[in-house]
Amino acid sequence: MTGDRKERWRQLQSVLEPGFKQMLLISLLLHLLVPALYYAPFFPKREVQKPPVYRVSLVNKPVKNPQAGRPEATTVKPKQPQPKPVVPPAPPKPVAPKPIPPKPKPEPVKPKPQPKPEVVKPEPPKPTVVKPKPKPQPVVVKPQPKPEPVDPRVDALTRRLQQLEQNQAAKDDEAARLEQLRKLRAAVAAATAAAQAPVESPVKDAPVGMVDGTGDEVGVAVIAYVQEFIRSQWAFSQYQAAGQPEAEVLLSYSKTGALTNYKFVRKSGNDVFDDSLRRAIIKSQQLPQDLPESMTFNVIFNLKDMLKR
Amino acid sequence: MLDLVLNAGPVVKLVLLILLYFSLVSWAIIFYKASIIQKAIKSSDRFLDFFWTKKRFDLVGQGLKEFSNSPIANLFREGYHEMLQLQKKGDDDEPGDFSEQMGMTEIVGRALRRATTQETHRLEKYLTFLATTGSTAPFIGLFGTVWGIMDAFHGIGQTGSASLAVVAPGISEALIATAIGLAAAIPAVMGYNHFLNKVNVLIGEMDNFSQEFLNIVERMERSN
Repeated sequence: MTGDRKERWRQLQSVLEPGFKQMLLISLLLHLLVPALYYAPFFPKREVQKPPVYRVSLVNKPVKNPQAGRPEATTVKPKQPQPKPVVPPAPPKPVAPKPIPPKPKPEPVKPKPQPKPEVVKPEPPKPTVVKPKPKPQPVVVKPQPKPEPVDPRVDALTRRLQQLEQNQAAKDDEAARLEQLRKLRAAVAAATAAAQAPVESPVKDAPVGMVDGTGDEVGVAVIAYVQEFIRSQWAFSQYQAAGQPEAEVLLSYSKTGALTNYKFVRKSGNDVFDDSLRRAIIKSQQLPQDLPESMTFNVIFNLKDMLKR
Repeated sequence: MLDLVLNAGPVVKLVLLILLYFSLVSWAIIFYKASIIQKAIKSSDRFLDFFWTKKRFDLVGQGLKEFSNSPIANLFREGYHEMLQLQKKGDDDEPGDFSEQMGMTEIVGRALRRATTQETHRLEKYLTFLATTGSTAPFIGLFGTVWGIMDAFHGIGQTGSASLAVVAPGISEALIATAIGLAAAIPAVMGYNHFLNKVNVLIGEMDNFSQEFLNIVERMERSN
């Protein structure tokens, strides 16, 4: 019995009990079985149809005759509210006609001493054509009728006719002015509404243009395009952004958009910034699109501007 | 999947090897314990039937070899052996001997307690490894992942690019360590809880049997 106890004690202290090695072997086989089953040919692997991946570069395509760069884009902006300047000249018109109504009043008084209505006939077109000069008329008219005596009945009829014509002309003028005023008001309202309302694309999820663009550019200058592309490849930690380093780089691109040479014309003095620029330039060795021609140009990279974008 | 492991860094590979060892041994323990405890339960069941059908200890003692896997049979063996020793000693001892003063029930009771402890240790052996695997494997895997991600971000910092195509493979390689850590820990925890429950049931059965055995011994002592 003592021997039996000793045997049990040894068994308890042993690392590997009898039979445990077999289990280890089984476990090992099981672990080998898992990858074997995973890669086994008799389990048909599910073919996952990967959807095509489209990579869209959000920089503008260069054009041969770039029309807009940044400076132009900023100058164009004030031109946009052109409808407004059109409005100011309009108001004086409705103001000017107002003094017209008093014109006929003095006229009926004046004709009384006028003996000759014949001479007066050519006059009526004048007040209608030349509105701002109503006052000199009576001065001119007064001396004219005096020398020519006319039949009073004809004169009365003529005056009546003239008065009716003037009334009609005044009415027409008033109607035309009101119509013009209405059109101007409508134009002003439309212009202000257009300025306030956001521009919406008819196509939902349509890609938008440059953030700082005005929308009237035909394209972007090649230099701006290349600068933007390099900036998109540029990586820089904001924690290292000290001061306002600015570097000028001479870049040479072939017609196919491949970088043929680059040289720092002026270093920024900030090694980290210069290194980040160098890395970005090397990464943009190949532009996504061809250029109009082989080009060599200087590009200025300003840290503050690049971080702003 | 395999390329993820092969492309991982040296630290992550080491972590994966450690986790593989944990998983390998855990599964071996799970199989071993499943076999041992299953045999112990079945054998104990048969032994209790056998014990209650035979009403004499000497008859039960003769058939013990059939129940070598039963912890309850081992208890009986220890108790019966102690009884025989006492009876043998009582025949040729002088009066006033130490064993006579103590009483047979107490001595047999001690033998049964010792045997119960021994059997409990035997049944619980290796279970601590399962508990260790269950609690540490996820952390080891997490360590590998954290290290891998650190490595990946360091590489990203050097290349200067932070696109998904650059970031994703490094993180994917790192995450496999956590996945394998969990794969090792989950069966270990489940196995540990399952076997601990079974062992507790067997310990309860052994305690019950000890009480029954001592009752019989005391009755025998009083009748003598």
